[in-house]
Amino acid sequence: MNFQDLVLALSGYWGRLGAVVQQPYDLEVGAGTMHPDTFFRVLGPEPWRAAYCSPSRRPVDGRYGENPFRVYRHYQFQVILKPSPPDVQELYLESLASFGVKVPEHDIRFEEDNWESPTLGAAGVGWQVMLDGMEISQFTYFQQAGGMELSPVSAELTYGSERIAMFLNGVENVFDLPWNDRCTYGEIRREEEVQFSRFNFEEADLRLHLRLFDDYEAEAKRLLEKGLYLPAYDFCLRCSHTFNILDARGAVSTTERPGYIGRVRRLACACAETYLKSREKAGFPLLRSSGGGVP
Amino acid sequence: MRRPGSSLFLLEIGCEEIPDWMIVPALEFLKREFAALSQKEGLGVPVFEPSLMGTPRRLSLLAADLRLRQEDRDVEVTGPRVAAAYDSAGKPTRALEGFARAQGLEPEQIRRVMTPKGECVAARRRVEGRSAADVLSEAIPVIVESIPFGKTMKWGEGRFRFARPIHWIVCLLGAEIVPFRVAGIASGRTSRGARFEGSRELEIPDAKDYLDLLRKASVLADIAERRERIVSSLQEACGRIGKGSRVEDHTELIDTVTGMVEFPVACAGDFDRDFLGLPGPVLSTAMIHHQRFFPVHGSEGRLAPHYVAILNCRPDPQVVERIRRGNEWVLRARLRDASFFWREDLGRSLEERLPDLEKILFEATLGSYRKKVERVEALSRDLCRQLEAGGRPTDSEAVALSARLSKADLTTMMVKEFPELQGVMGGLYARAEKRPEAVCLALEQQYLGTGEAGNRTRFETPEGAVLAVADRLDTLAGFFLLERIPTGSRDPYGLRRAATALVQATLDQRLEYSLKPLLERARELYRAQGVTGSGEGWGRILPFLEERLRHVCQEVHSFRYDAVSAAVAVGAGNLQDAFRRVEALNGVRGHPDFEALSLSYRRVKNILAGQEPPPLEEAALASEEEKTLLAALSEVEQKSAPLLSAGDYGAALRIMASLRSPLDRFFDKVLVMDPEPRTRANRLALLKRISLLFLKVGDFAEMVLEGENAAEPARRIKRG
Repeated sequence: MNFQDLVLALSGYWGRLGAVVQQPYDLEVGAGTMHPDTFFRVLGPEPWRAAYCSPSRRPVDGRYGENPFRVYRHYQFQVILKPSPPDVQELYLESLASFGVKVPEHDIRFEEDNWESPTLGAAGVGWQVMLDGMEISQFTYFQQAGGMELSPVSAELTYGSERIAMFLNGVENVFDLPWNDRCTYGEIRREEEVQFSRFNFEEADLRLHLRLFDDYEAEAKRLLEKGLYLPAYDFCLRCSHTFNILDARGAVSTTERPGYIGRVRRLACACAETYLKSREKAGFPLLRSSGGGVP
Repeated sequence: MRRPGSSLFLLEIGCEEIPDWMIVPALEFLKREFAALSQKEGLGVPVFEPSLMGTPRRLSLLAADLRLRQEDRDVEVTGPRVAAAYDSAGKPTRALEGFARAQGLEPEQIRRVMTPKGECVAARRRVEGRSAADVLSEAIPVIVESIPFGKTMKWGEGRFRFARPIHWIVCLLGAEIVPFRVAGIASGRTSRGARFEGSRELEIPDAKDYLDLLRKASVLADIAERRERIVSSLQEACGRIGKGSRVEDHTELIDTVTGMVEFPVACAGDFDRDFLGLPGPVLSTAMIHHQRFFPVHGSEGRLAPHYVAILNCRPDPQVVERIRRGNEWVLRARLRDASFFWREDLGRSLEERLPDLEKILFEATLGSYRKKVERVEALSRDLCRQLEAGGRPTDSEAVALSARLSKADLTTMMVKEFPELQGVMGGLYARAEKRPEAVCLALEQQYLGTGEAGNRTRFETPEGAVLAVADRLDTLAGFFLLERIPTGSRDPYGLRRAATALVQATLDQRLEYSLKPLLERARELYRAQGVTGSGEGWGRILPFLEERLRHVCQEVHSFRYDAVSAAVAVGAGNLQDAFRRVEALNGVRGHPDFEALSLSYRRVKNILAGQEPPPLEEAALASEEEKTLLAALSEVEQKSAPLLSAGDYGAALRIMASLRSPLDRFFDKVLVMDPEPRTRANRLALLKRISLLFLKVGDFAEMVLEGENAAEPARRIKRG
């Protein structure tokens, strides 16, 4: 099964289970969790199910396209289920069959791995899922987001698409992965890895990005005062990515680092609070409908 | 086997995968609470067999010999006073009738009893014992809900917290369900088998069938049985690899794996021989920490290109073969990754990496690791100077270099990927750069010294120990300046471990140095950086180190606490010196001469309390006993002086023992508190000199004598 079919299989599986099959967010994010359809929707009482494949950019992970396992931008297949259904583990295990992995024929384990995102004020408890010794997913019960305790709790399933596809194809270099039957992952993505590694590590203009961070932050704050939490959150995401670039460029000193993270977190938490108030005012609309396609 | 009228109790809490390290503590809690409950409720002393039962997906308990019912018992309930219970005609009043009714008795059945309040009426009633099932269905949910896990979570729409979501509960007394609910789940008799068998439902007709039924469903619930299976199948799998190969003995890994699988199947696998070019610690870490594979050593004792994995799967050869291919693929990927890191990292020397340390934070206020290594280098140079002044030269250039390079490996890709290899990688990279071996070893050893058990690796070189001491001292100084001092069980910065490591490095290499000037230097170095702190915590740093020394002496070396207290009471500013005094005092415990001396010393100490006698005037000594004592004392002082300054406290103590009889005679014959002031002052002065001599080793008053209560360290004899 090639990379593309894997993504399609997962989309199909979760779509059939009533998840809103979303598209990735069109801003730079470090993880699928930052997509507004996860970050906001896990807050408050409204039920929700969504699935999407999220390109995730982590500038410090760039290796100029030379490392067989590590890329600056990878694809997380993200599923969010709120509230976490009682049979969520079974649903997850069945999803593996959608790309040909049958539980009785493998050693599948759930090994403790708790997750925390200081920039999102989010934390969860869960596992990394191991398939014959390889980590293929993160499985997290969200306990906190935007600095708030969550109730109900959402389950977040994050599939490492490249890893799974490499495992399925017995390929040892991510760039050799068949994207479809014509192109490899490398043919499509390697140049991007090379250029963005250079950009992130060597070329990103420091003064520009330092200024951008401040400007984005100011804009987010201004928008929040107007109650526009969605555009404000966009600027919060931009701050986060700008910080990641500065970090990769080595421009963030040790003493400044926690400060930057704190600034992003404060924005994220403020967006979360504004979102929640606004949904409450609207009477939590998804409580009435079969929100997010929950059956 | 079981007593008649007794029954077998079964509890199984079925969960999503619980972290391996939480399982055994949770089971021990269940056992402890269950035993306490059973005894408190008169259900007898339960026998737990197997001793510990649980897997990642179930916490279980089998308790035999449980009484089915509590014994019936008589209860007496006191009612109103006789005066209020009967009217003047001796007829029952309404008060008595009400009481009798409440007790379910007729007024005629009411008795009279004497109480402190006077004569009252009383009802004696037979209370039927409750059935075990009743008692348990009330109490078990409370116990289950109170299991203390290291970390808990909520799930779905519930508010209940547990290690992981609960899915089923089996609770049987013999063949009967003990009914209750936890987290909204009703107890029943339906368990589930292994995941790889589809987690199919499993009816448990009777508690006694539990283990066998689970075994048939590919679950080995008995932890000891599972562990044994793992150990023996590891050997078996290794035997198939080839003659002379041996699986690395790794208790911790065996325990971890036992807590991760329900049905262990061993499977040997290989990796490319080329990877053997990687340093051994890298190979082992990739296998042990990342894949939980057991490394295999060849007949010559070196790592062989094989491993044994414990799988959790069907023991079907085709399945095992498929998983083996997957495991090998993953390990190959890891090792290729590691090879890449190793090659890349070697491209830049440790020295060249130092500027990068500016970007890695040691602590927000205390600054970067760049700053830390500068401080540690300065401290280690001071420490070397002290050691040299004490006649113990170390290779101070090697120490300084290793201090400067000590954290450079934090910037390597390998350590970022395998954080557990910090230090070890520094040593390996230094060796690849052909740095002096003393430097490589110091880098490698700097993080040792936190383990307490016998399997702790000792600091092998003085350079490594000096680096460890300087590094930990700097850490402690910084956090104490910031008042981040451990309290009770809270020690978020691992300062106790740091201090323990400091003590063990010092003792392993017998480093004689004085803590005070070093601490002052550490404080100065922080001050130069603008870190001053409020100063309150600073005074607690020496007592904190003393406390760790006591801990190491008692827990690691099994010295008696009173010997430790006696030695530490006169100061532990030089840890190694204090340790030798502990050793000496511990050695003379219980010896009759020292028992007597200790007793005399207590008298000396009590008499001297609050006294500041003038210097001794030898000519004014009146009695024979005084003169004899002074002569003996002078001789002992003279003979012991070189021993004391050489730190041979054992020999010095043996010489001091000769003071026993002159001192005993002195106390027998001489009244110290003579009415004549000059005589009195002189006698006190004599005792003062004795006391000063003793205090060079320890405060003998802390020593517990034969027959005294050793569990009561606070006890003191009041009068001399």
